[in-house]
Amino acid sequence: MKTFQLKYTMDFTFSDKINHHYFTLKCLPNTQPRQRVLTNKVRINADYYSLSKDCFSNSMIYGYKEGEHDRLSLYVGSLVEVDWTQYDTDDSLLPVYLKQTKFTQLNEEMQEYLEPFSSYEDPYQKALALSKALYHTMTYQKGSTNIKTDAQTAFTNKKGVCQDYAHILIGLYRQSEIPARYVAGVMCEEKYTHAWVEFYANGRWYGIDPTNDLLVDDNYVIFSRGRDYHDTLVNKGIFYGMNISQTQDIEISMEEILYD
Amino acid sequence: MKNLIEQQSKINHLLKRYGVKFGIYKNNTFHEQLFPFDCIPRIITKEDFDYLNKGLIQRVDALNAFLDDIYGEKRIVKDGIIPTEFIYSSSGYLVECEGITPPQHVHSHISGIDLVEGKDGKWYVLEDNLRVPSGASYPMIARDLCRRASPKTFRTNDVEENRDYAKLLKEVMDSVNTGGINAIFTPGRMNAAYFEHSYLAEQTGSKLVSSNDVVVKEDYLYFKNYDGSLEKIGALYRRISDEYLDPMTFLEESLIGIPHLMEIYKKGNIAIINAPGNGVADDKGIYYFVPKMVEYYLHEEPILNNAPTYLPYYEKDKEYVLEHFDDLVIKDVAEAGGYGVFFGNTLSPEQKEAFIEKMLREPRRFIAQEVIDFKDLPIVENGETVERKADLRVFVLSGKETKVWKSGLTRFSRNPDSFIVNSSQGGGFKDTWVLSR
Repeated sequence: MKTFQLKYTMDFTFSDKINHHYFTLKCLPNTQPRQRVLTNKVRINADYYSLSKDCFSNSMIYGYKEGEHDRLSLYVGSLVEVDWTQYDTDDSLLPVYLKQTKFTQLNEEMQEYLEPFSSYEDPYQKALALSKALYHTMTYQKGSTNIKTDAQTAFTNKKGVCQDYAHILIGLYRQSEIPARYVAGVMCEEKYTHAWVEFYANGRWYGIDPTNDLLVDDNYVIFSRGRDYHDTLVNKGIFYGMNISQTQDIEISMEEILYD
Repeated sequence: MKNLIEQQSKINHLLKRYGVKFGIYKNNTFHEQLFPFDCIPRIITKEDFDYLNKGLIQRVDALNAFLDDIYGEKRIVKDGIIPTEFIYSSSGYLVECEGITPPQHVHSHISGIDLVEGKDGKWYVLEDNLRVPSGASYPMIARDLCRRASPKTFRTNDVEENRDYAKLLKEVMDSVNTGGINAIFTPGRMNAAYFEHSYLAEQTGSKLVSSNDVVVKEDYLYFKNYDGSLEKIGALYRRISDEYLDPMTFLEESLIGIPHLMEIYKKGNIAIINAPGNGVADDKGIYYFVPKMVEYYLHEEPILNNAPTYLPYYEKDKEYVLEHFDDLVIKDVAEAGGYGVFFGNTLSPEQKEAFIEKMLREPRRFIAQEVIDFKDLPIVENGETVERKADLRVFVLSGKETKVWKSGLTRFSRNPDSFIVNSSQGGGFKDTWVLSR
C-alpha cells in the first residue's frame, strides 16, 4: 500500500475571447476497491462547477463560465491511498466491455497476430502473454500518432504511445472474448497522464500496462475508465467564439508520502 | 358522413395553408412531406376499443418496467428471458443511461403503438415507438377542421371527443415534473415538425424552447427570459432524438442540444420526456420479447397479439424460417426505415441462397414474420371510393397512471398493391373515431 499526493494543474488558453463556455473534466480520482481518496481539492475559475459521475462510475467536474474570457484554470489536489491487492469484481457491464469500438476494431493483420495465442486455455495467462508480445512488437514513439488514431493504424505502423498500446491490446482481448477496458490515470513520477488496460478473468479485473510491460501495482492512480480513450477524455468543452485555437498546459506531480 | 366527404378538398386546402406537413422520426431518420387527408374516418367500435385500451395499457406498462430493469438490475437478462446479445447489440441501448432512474420510474411517457386489424378481425401490434413518436397533432387538427366543415356529422354520430390530448399530455408533464415549468424543446423553426411542437406548446400551456433559450446552471435547467431573469424548468418534452440531446454526453457536434442536461437529469433535477435510451425497447429484435415482458413483469397473460415472429437465433425458429421462407417477411434488425424489409418469395434462387447463408452466419441480425393480411379501408380518390391498406398508431400516455388516447393516427397506403403503410412510401391519413356506444 502506498499513499500519494497528486497535483494536477491544467491551464487552457484561447486565441481570442470566448463566452458561454461549458466544460466537463475527468481528472478527479475517486474511491474504488484498489484506491481510496482521502482528500480531494478542486479549484477552478468558473461561474460555477459541480460534480457528477458518468455511466462508468468516473468522477467528473462540470461547469459553466458565461462572460468573455480567454483562460480557464483548473487545479485538483488529491491525497490517494493505493492498494493493488484489492480487486474490483464489478461484472455489471461485461457485455459492454466485450464489444469493439471504432478505436479498438481489429484488422486482418491483428487477427493473424492473435492466431498463435489460440492454444491458451486460461484467459489470464493468455492476457499476460498478449501484453508481453505487444510490448515487443510495438515501438514507443512520441508524436507518431494522435488522439484520433485507431488500433489498426497504430498496429500497421508498429509505433505509438500508451493510448495506442492500450487500444490494440483491448481489441485483441475482446476478440479473444476477454472483457477489457481502457484506463486513464497517472503513474508515479510521470509528468503526463498515462493509459493502460484492465481485463476481466477469474471473476476480477486485473490491471496491465502494455507500454511498460508491467502489471499494475501501487504506483498507478486512476482518473477514469471506459470502452476506449473517448470515454476517458480529460477535457471536453463547448463555447461561443470564431476561429478559436486553444492550448492546454498541464502540470502533474505525483509524489509518494512516506510515513515514518 | 356524405356531407363530410364533400368537404375533403376544402379541408386538405386548409391543412396545407396551416402548414400541416408530415415529419416523422422513424428508426432515426427524418421524413417530411405533405400529408393528404382522407375524410372517411376509421371507425373503432366501443367493444374493440375497450379491448385495445386494456391491452395497450398492459403492453406499455410492461415496456416501462423493462426499461427500468435494463438500465438498472437487468433481472430479465439474468433470469434468462432475454439473451444478453439482444440488449447490447441493439443500437438503441445507451450505456450512458446506465444506473439512471427517471422521475416516477417512467421512461416512455408517450408511446406510439402501431397496430393493424387483420381480415380475421384480430388486432396485431406491428411496432412500438418509444423514442419520440410524433403524429398526435394530425388527428387533433383534422378533427377540428372536420367539425367545423360538417358539425352535423358529429351531432348524429356518437364519437368520443379527442380534444383532450393536450390535457392528457399536460397531466403527464405535471406528474413527472421535478419542480418548475413545463417546456417543449424543439430543434427549431427549420424543423418540419415545428408546427406540431408549437401547436402542442400552445395547447398544453408549456414554454416552447430551443437550445439558445435555456441554460444549465447550479444543477438545474433554466429558461432565459427576455429581461435576463431565469425560470426553472421541471419537465422537458424534447422533440429531438437522443444523440443530439446533450453534446457533452452524446454527439459532440450537436448544436441543437443542451450541454450538461444529462448531469442534472441523473441528479433527478429534471424529467426528460421521453427518457433517453428507450430505443433498446422498440428495437425490431426486442419486439419478439414484449409478450414475455408482460408475463415476466406483470404476471399476466398478454392481451394483445404480436404478428407471429420467428428469431433464427433460436434453433427451432431457424428451422421454421428455412422451411417456410417463401411465406415470410424478413426484416434486418440493423437496417433503418423501410430498408432491409422484404418478402421471402421475391428473391431469386441465387439471392435466396446468399441471404440464407448470411442469416445463418448472423442469426441475431434478422427476424421473420408471418404476412398479415390486414383489412382494407375505403378512401376517396378522384371522386371514387376505393379500398386501401391502413394501419393505426395509438398514443398511450404514462404519468401517474397509463391512459390511452381515444383517437389515433390512421395512415393508409396510396398504392393499391402495397402492404407497407409507411410514411416514407407516401401515404395519407384519416381521422380515427372511437365510438362511445
